[in-house]
Amino acid sequence: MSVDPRLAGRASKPPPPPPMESAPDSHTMDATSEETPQIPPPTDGGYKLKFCTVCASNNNRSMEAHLQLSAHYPVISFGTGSLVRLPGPSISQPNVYNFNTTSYNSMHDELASKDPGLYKRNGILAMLDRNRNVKYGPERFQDWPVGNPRMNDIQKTDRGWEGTEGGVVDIVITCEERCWDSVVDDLINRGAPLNRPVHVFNVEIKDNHEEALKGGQAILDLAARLNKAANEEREVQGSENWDAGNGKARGGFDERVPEILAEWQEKYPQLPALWTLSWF
Amino acid sequence: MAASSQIAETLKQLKSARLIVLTDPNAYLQILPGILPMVGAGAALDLRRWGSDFIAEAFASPAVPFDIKQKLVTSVLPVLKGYFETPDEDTGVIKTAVQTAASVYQFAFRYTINNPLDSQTWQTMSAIKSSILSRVDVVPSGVRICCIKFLQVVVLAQTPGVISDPRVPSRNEVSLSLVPRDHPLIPPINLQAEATGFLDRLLGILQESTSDALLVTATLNSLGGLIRARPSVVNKIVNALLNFNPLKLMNAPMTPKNMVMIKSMWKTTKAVLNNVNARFPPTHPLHERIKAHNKELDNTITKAPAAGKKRAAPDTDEPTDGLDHAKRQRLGADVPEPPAAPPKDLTTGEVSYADLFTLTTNHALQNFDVTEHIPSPENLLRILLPVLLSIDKERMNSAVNTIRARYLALQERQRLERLQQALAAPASKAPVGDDDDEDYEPEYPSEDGKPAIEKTRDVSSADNVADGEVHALDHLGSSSLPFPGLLSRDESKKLNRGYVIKLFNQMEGLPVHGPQAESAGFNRLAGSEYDRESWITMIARIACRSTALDMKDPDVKSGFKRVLDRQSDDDDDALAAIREAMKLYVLQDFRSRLDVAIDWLHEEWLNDRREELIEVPNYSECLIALLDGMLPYYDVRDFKHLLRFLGEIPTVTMDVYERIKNLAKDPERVILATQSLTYICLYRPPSRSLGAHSLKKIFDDFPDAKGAARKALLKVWPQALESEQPPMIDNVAKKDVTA
Repeated sequence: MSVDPRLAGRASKPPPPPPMESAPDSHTMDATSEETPQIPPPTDGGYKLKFCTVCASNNNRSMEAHLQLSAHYPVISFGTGSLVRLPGPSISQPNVYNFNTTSYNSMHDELASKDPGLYKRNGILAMLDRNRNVKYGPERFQDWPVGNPRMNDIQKTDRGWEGTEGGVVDIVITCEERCWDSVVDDLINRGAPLNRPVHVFNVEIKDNHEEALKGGQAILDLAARLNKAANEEREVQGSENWDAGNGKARGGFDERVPEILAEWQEKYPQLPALWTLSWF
Repeated sequence: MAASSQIAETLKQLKSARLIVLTDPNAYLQILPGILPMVGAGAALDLRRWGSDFIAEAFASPAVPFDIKQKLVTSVLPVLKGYFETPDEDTGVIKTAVQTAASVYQFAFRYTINNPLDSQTWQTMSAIKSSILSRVDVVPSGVRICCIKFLQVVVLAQTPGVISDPRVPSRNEVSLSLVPRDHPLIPPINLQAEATGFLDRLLGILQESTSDALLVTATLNSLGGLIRARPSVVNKIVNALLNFNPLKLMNAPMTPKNMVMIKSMWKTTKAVLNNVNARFPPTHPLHERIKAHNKELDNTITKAPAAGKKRAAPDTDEPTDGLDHAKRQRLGADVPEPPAAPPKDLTTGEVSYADLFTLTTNHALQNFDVTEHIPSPENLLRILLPVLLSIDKERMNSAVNTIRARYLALQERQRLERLQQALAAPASKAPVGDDDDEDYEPEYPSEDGKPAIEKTRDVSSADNVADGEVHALDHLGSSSLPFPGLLSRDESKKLNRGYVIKLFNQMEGLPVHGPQAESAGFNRLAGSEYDRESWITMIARIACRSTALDMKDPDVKSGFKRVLDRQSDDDDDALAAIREAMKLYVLQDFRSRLDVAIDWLHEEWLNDRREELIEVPNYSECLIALLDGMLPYYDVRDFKHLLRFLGEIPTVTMDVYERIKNLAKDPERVILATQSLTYICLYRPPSRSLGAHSLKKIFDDFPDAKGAARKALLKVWPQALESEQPPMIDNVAKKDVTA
């Protein structure tokens, strides 16, 4: 279902932005107007879920979501592909980079020196410019040592770093079913040594700038709903008895997740979602 | 206020301490024991929450060296136990504590292996374990999934694993294999039994909790670790996975939440199975099974109307310009019926079974696919039986007749097509003199029950191209056999002879007499035993008592004659053939098959008498035929044989005397003739006069036999010699009656 990122290069120019007055996507508008403002800005006291966004190349969809989430939550992002692939001059000539070692900045500079006109037109330079202001470079999910502290100087400059020092997250959100499959499979292969539950979501987003933006907003909405439920669980502390959990205690954060996702899905039927509980 | 500000202050310090250990994991060794008293069971909630997270992080982090974790175990366990023993403990703290317990378990296990005398540590761990176990079913699902993970960790530790390097015990993965057999605290047998129980409990979740996607997916994903590291339990787990139906919830109402859960369980099951399958080589017995199972799951979910979408998409066939056909009847609007689609013309083109059996003219019904709309045979049965019961019998019959007529027409059409193709096939393609053409081609009766005669002409006209037809059929790829032709007269006779020969071949190997025949005496029933005698009786009765023949019909009476006179009569029937065969059978070895001959002749005679035929025509024919067959071979040594034959046959007819008298023409067999006649005269008194007259004729007619005849006449009829004119034979004595 996704659009090959390499095909983006064939479009001579991006489609014109929809007129804002006509409210092109009421869902997205609702998401920002109703849900997002309720989320308190990060303070020392507020409990926040930690997020991780994943797409194929850790460039477009996951980075857009990373940017949006980082305004409110601890967040890190990854790609599941074997290499970072960006559209090149033709479909058979993509620009390929290694994960973990290449910076967005170097990619940006390289492409800008290659053919600034082309990469400006297809939006690649703008995307890389955004990315280099979010974090250092694309990281590969399969190479992520879960639980290793993210305390080095490069990681500390990532947006949404605060809260991810421990190197673990509560929620993983992928942007493509293929990536969800890779993540779930990789987590099984790791053998769950941390014994820590993690909710793995997929929100199917087409790989173009427009959809990435909309999808990022929808992910932010999902995050807000999840975070709200997690906070509610903590607020009813003490009344839940470890021995005799019943009533509201039964409705803890984890078991409310399917319900939250279902509600969210009703609002975003164009973004088919998927979820499972996996282990780090 | 003071307290809360103090807590906030403490938290701030703790957080800075955490930053230190995150940067330098070795610092845990100093910092953790210092922090533990501040965050233990008695501390404030915020501190406990932070503390439990901190401990969990310490034991989960891959950055912290194993040695440090191992050293910290003993100090951490009491704090963990304290959390579990605190009444009304916060769910979040408990949840994290269970995670920590799972991470700590392997270190406590290894510690106990290496310190068998320290029972305290293992007791604490056991207390934590039982605390978790006793509550696994009552806690909120969020905590329960952590308990499930804990169970998985225990199973992992307490099943035998692979010792990768015995020289470096600390590097090896913790498993039952590391436990010495005589360990005082943790006897391996008990541990293994416990692990088996826990595994069953884990797998049981898959069977019980299909409505809770959180539990199910958490269990499924945790099983991955076991499959990866413990080959001994892989089969058990995979079988449980294959038996698990993630789509069970599809029977429930399709709420959005249910849809999310179904999709979640389906995808997770698939992911785990695919992960397992990637480890199996393609030759593994479970490999194909898993593949098929996943495919089946996919099929089920894609066929489900509500899967993945809330409502079925509007039918694309729905008319947009007029009324929807489905709604017309309800509206009562006067709209024309949809154009009737006539049943397919069966006279041309390919014809499917559906075409053959389709009677309806309704286009929608014609395209109705039962397998698609009613996939379950049970449901189909539920619908079909009442429908069948309520069908009008006349309509059913007429429908069946219509189909039958179509079928016959179709058969005829196919046959003609085949013939045309066979004729069109180039003759050069037919191999000449190819031995294969003499392949066995059984001549079955026509399968549709039609009299074969209808087809005969067509088939026989195709005889000339038979070879070509065989190959033409190959091109057709049809599996039906060529229709058998009508038997010609010659073939029919040939076959009849074959059957008769088969009747006699059947006797080979049969005992002459069955076990009871000797003792039954007069109570014996002919043909009641499976021996040669019974068989002869049966064949003889088939020949002489066939119900299809009227024995009073003079043509039938002389059936035997017709056999012998083949030239004049080609209306050869089976009875004559049997008699002929019987005669040949006896003559083949008449010396030993005398009893067969006698039995047969008795049957013939009896039947003639039964039919009140005074002349016993069939008997006479058979008798003479036999005698004519045997007499040329008789010589003096066969004297006793002939005597016995003459003695046992029911009636000695005039023709017999004639034949025996003629024996005396041969000087060598004069004795045979005269003595046989003497015997008849002496021992078959009713035949006496006929026998005596025959002797007299020998005496008169054959000069060479005069001496012998005289001798015999002296014995039986001396008066004939005294007066050269013998007395006239009265007419009554022309035939005798059975003695």
